Amino acid sequence: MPDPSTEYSFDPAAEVAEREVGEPPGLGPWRLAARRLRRNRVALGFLALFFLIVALCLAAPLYADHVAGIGPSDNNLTGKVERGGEQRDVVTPDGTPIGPGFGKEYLLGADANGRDVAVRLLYGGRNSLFVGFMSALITTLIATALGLIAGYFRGKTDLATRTLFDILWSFPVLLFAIALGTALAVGGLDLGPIHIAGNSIWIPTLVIGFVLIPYLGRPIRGQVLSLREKEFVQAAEASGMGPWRIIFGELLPNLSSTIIVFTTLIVANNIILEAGLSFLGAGIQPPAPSWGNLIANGVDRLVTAPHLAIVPGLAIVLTVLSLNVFGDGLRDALDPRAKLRLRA
Amino acid sequence: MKSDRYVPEGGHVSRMLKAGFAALVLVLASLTIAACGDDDGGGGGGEGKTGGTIKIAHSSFPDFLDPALSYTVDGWQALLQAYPGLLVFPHESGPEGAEPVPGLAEDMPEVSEDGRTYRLRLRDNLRFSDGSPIRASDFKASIERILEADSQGAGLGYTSIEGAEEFLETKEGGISGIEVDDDTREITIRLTEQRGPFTYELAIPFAGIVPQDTPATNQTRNPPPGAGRYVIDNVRVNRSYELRKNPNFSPSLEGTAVDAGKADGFDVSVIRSVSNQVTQIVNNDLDFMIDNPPADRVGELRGQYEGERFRQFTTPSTFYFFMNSEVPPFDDLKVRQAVNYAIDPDAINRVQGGVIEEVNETLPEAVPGYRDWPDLYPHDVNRARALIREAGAEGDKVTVWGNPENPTQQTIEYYADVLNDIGLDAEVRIVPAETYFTTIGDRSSRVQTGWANWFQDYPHPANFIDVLVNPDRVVATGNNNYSYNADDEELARKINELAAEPELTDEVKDGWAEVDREIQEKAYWAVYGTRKQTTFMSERMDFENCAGDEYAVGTHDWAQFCLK
Repeated sequence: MPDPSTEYSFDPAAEVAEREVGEPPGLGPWRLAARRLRRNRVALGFLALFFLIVALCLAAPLYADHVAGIGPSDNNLTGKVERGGEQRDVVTPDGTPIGPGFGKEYLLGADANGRDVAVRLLYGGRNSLFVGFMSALITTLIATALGLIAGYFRGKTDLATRTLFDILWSFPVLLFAIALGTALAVGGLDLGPIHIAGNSIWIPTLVIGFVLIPYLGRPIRGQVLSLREKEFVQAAEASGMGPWRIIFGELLPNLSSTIIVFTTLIVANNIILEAGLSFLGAGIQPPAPSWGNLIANGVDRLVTAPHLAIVPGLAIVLTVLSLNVFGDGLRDALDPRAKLRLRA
Repeated sequence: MKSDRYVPEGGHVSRMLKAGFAALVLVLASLTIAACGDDDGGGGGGEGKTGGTIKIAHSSFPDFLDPALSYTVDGWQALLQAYPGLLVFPHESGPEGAEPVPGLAEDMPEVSEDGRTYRLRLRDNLRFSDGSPIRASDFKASIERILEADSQGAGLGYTSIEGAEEFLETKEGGISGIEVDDDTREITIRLTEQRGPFTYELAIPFAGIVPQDTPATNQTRNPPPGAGRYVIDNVRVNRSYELRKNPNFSPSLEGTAVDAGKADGFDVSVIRSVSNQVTQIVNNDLDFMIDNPPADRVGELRGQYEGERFRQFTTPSTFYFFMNSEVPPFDDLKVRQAVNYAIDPDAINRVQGGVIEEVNETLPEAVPGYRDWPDLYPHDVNRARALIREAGAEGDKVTVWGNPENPTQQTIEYYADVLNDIGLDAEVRIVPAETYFTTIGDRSSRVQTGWANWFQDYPHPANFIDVLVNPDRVVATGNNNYSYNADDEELARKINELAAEPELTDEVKDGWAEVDREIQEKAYWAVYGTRKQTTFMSERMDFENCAGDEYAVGTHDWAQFCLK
């Protein structure tokens, strides 16, 4: 006699797995996902690490004002700092900056301009995270809108959107971003009445957000093409719902898990891309710090001041690792295919 | 000690022959050839092996590989080997290489009594590297090409030639003040006024002769034929290029100052990281780097290789922050003076890795006319802030221009911080090194302030003061005068009068020193020092005999380089 809970199952193995983990019946998809995520301690651990990094970066002004006593762009080339009971040059006459040490000032050492590396690391983190999040938001909004419209309306709309994606996709993403970033860094960007200066943080944000649109837009379009043939869409059309209401009321909620998971991973990807652009001089413009340009500034001093490149490098690694591991956990919790395996 | 490294070249050999030691020289030359082997006749009679290919690195690609357009040390180091003019600088380090000698011309120019007419004659049977003959009319076309291409070289004395100003403006009709006869090979140049350094200006790469059908556009990708010992070839912009021995080197140039170059060729590449360049030289994968090593490698290199592969020398150069006096707030003398008070040469020396020697004067110590003036603007931030307040410039927005090379970017970031500290609102604008000077030299860009430097083209005060700050030299594009002080007629008059002097007498030198002081008083820029340059070579190179440094034109002369 069949068990009612396995009535629609296509995957007996998954069914067994479900029994083993003890998913209670009747939970909504979001609560189910939250329940799965809570069980993934590794993902939660890395989420906590990510929040810690974000909190530290947000606290940069407090650290600069009340601990280090120096701003992120304040040069201190001829100053001295106490180390081991004696006064030492922040930057020696031959140009060697002081290294990391225990103390409130210059905890992670100084850079070639006598600026506090710890302060610039935190401020750089704010900039890198800002670019990472905002560019991911731009990518997600535009790619989702284009994917939904192309997938639902099909025909010429789909052809035009797909061609746009293909054109953008045909450029290597880093080279495309460098070209755009370099061009806009000099003259800035005019968007109608809005002028964005060449050294604005919005330039790399917009560049990264723009070049990655097809990477999210194409999979969303594919999913919409599939969902459009489902019964619930046909039922909505039969009930007289307009296309925009179907797109935003019916299709978008069914894409939410995909969008959330992709966005998490895109944030991590964009932080790396920003670092690459800034490293190459096409991202955040100096003297504003970012993890990428901090590494670039440190590369030429790897022998006597390796901390200048290693510390921001570590910051990028930890941030991206935490976002990727959490993103994987989130995908495991939300992935609709997992649901298909269990409940189809 | 220093003179031990200077390598006598072809010019010396020629004089010795004339002195009656021909037989002895031939015997010695034969012995040298036998000892070294592989001698193809180039390289003069100096010590050091001939042959082989030397690997050289730039941090960024030269501005141009076109003699009419390039105006950087990086560009000239290559172009000097490929594009001789009527006159050339001998390929010898130190003072011996500082005075022009005949190149493609048979002799030094015959100058009229009024100092305004120069007569020269091209050597016979000259040919370009593609085998085509060199005619007197090629010289005229080459000078016209400088002006037609709106080159930065137009800021030099070529506009002193009769009809040059009109040609610069209209680009039509040629320069009436240059008369040539292809049959007799005679060239006559008439100047509108006497010009002391004109012979020097006939010896620098701008006056290098190229075929008259060369387009007046940037030829970097496919450099035109020249008459030099080497040919620039296989140019991959922003990546690499090669110098190879000229297969059609004119026999009539053999034994002249043009006939110099020990190596068979040079493979030149762009390696962005100077630290990587150092590592490659240490490992003998690279032979020479044009830029200085990064600050944190200098101690290591000095400790391990001083005197054997590494040394530093002071260059005749000026490093400064320019201020555009056509654009607020730098149109106000008080603001410019405030900047001079605010910058701290000690801090700049540290950010540049200890290679800056503090000076306040425009002219470096090695240049005639230098005088050790008392510092008009000792470092005083409070005084600077007060001047900014008096000028009503507090909070004025200022864009500080620089390029991403190390330590230029760090220096610019320091400078922007200083400007913010004294009450201005400064932001940094970084543009690629390859286009930096073209950008700030465009008058319509209205750049406010930024970093600049100048290495001596030739040892004459006009090469610094006339080129860099003469108000009459402010042009639409390709400026070297970033002060854009076009309305200072009094200063222009003084500089023009001094530049017209044919001899650098003590009185004339005093005049240049006084003008130097006036420039400081008017604070057209903020000079912070002169730079030490490094020579660092691989183990393959004959550092003792062929370092080629302390060269009068730029910093190093590749023709003197040789392998062990």
